[in-house]
Amino acid sequence: MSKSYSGVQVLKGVTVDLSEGEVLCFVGENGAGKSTLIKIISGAIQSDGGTVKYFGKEYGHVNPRQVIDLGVATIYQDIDLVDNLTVADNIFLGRELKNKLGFIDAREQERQSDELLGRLNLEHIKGADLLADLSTAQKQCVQIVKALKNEAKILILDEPTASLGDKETKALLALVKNLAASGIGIIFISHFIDELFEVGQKLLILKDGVQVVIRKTDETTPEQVIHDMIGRDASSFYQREYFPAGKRKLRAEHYANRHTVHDVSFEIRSGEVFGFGGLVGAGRTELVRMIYGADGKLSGKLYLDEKEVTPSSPKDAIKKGIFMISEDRKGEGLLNLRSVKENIMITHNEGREFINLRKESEMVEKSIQTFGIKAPGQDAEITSLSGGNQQKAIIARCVTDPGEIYIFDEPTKGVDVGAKEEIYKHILDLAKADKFVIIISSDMPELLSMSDRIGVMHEGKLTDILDAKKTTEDELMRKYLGYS
Amino acid sequence: MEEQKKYRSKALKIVTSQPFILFVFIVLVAVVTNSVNNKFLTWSTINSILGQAAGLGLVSAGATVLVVSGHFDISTGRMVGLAMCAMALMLNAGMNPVLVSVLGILICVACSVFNGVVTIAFNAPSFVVTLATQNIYYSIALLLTNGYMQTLYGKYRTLASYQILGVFPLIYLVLILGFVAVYIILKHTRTGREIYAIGTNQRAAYISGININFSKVKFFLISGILVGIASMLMLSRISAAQATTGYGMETEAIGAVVIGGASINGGKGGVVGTFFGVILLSMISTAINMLHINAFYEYMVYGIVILLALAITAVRNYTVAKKNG
Repeated sequence: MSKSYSGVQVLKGVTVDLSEGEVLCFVGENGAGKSTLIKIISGAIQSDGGTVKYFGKEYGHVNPRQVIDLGVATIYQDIDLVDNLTVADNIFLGRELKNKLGFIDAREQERQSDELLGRLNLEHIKGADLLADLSTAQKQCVQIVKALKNEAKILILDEPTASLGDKETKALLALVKNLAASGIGIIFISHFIDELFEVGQKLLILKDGVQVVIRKTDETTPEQVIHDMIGRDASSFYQREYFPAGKRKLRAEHYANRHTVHDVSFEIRSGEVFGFGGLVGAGRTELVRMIYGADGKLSGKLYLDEKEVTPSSPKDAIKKGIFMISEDRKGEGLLNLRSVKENIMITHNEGREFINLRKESEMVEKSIQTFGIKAPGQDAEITSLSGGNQQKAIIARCVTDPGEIYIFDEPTKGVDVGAKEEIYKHILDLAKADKFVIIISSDMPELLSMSDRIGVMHEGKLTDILDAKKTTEDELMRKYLGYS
Repeated sequence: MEEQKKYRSKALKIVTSQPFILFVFIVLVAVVTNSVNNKFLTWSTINSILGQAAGLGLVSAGATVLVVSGHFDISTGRMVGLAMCAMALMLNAGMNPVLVSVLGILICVACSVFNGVVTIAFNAPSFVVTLATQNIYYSIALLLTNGYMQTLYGKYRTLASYQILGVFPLIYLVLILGFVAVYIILKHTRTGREIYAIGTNQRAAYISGININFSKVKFFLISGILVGIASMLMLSRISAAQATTGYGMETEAIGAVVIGGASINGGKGGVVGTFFGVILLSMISTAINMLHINAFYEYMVYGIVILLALAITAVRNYTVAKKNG
């Protein structure tokens, strides 16, 4: 079996092969190209160049259905099973067993499911169980069983352990080893270095879409792998201007929700850019959403110069001078069908019932000038703008009114390089004006070069607060992974 | 040069807008009908069309607010029936007409706000909520009237018969004021911006500092007031009410809003389009009658007009998508 690829926009010149019974791991930070790679292999997207050979044969353009028929099963992080069906029904979904009368033979399906589950040491799951009653880990296992039932010879697992506890993870890793031993080739993706060393034989390390190196787990160390994952040239760093922090203080105390954030407290000085780093799912976005009042919380209070300002809702937050830009620009930022004008003024207009259209137009014009928003006009639909200009409009929305605290969640996601630098400048202008700035970024060079200090989050806890100037990417990645 | 180009693009925008296309279409229908039967473009025919349009118009103006904000109220027809029955009963019991009018509006406001509150509380589509509540309102109207028609015997006629300065019917002024009010709300107030914002992206509206639930109640309140005034106009015109009165208006109103170019998914639309939509729907039956076309075609024409409006919107969306790449 061999596979090779090369020349995809976000993925350049990657060549790797997988043999029978081997566990190959893809390693890389957020956005390194791991997902793109599995999407190509599973036929969900086409590569621009290069070829994929399945079992020694090249197939040209393939669609997901064909790839599944070839025996390559992909199991994504989110479970695509039907909750209201039994385990057996799910396993046989689309390929139901029929009895002589043409009805579904539930008993035979359950018998075969139990047999399959038994073979994989999963006797605790029964074919007759309702899927909704299973835990997340058990559902993951059912997905794997379903793939195997369809005679998969290659199994792709995209972060299967991301939402599992310790014990469940162990069971899943045991299953993976078990499967590999039975001759199935496995591609395994995980953010947890320890897991990769436990199950993997070969590690394909990716960085910015480029293959760094392929290492064998028995010939390398976790430190080496972490180093491979990062390390890049200085050009991706932004040279920011530094200025002394102000006197005022912002204190967040004991922020927690049910699952994703656990007792986070920190303090920021005015004029400081405080960064939050961590892997996807570390709880950063959930934390700032609670601070902004957008989501419910178990506990958490916010103090500005010892005066409590905890917002109860985004509306309350804005009244108190707290603004947030969501990471999800499409879902929570843009008013899609509406004009640039309405998008910029939506927050400001909440302050008064009647809108002075002429004055509004002047204000929008000023914003467009200040932020260098390239738009055909104020009344142009916001979606006709480029991603960078859309983002600038949303930032303009937040700075039209006076404020104190600004939260930027992934402010440059999907933004071109030129607009990125402009956005950096506007963020720093706020800090320079003695405001409080919180920034979340999954882009490590961005986080390191923009922040004064970086709070590292790992599995919902604030584990470290680092001085950005004295921190290297190596160090940061180690902290992200909880590997110190 | 630059200036000229600007004007040209502005002119092009108006000419290709849905209200303008509707306006042209209405004129076309009127002229064609009149050429066959020259009684169509007479004061009395126009009067009768506009008189019929008044009730539907106000309900449609309210429906515009809801549809643009991403909601539907299909109980408005039953609300009209309930309010008219209750008002007729109160008038026949000798109550003051002004007080009765206020109570009539309050009934509709209460029903509409109830729809809104339930929609929010159950986090359910307003379509389904109002599908349920319309039955309740109908039932109340039946209980109140015992199923009998309530005739007013000439009471409460002022609203429908009064002519300002002896020429301009008061009913038109009310209709126009209703539309102007909604126009101002949509264009010049924060409530209007909230309607569009919530209609296009509720989560973004929330993050931008809008109190979503409060705003939605406001939208239902606005619609309720308009439905209440529509009930007054209709009661005054018809001089009688029964529980089934008004039924069917809700779908006609939503039809008028869609014909007017509003997006059924919310976030887009305006009250000018709705106005022409109402006029178009109201003149169809008269036109068919005057053209001596079999009256059974009437509803087919309604259906085709709505489909045509959707087709225009689809073509426009397609060209816009093409222009934006």
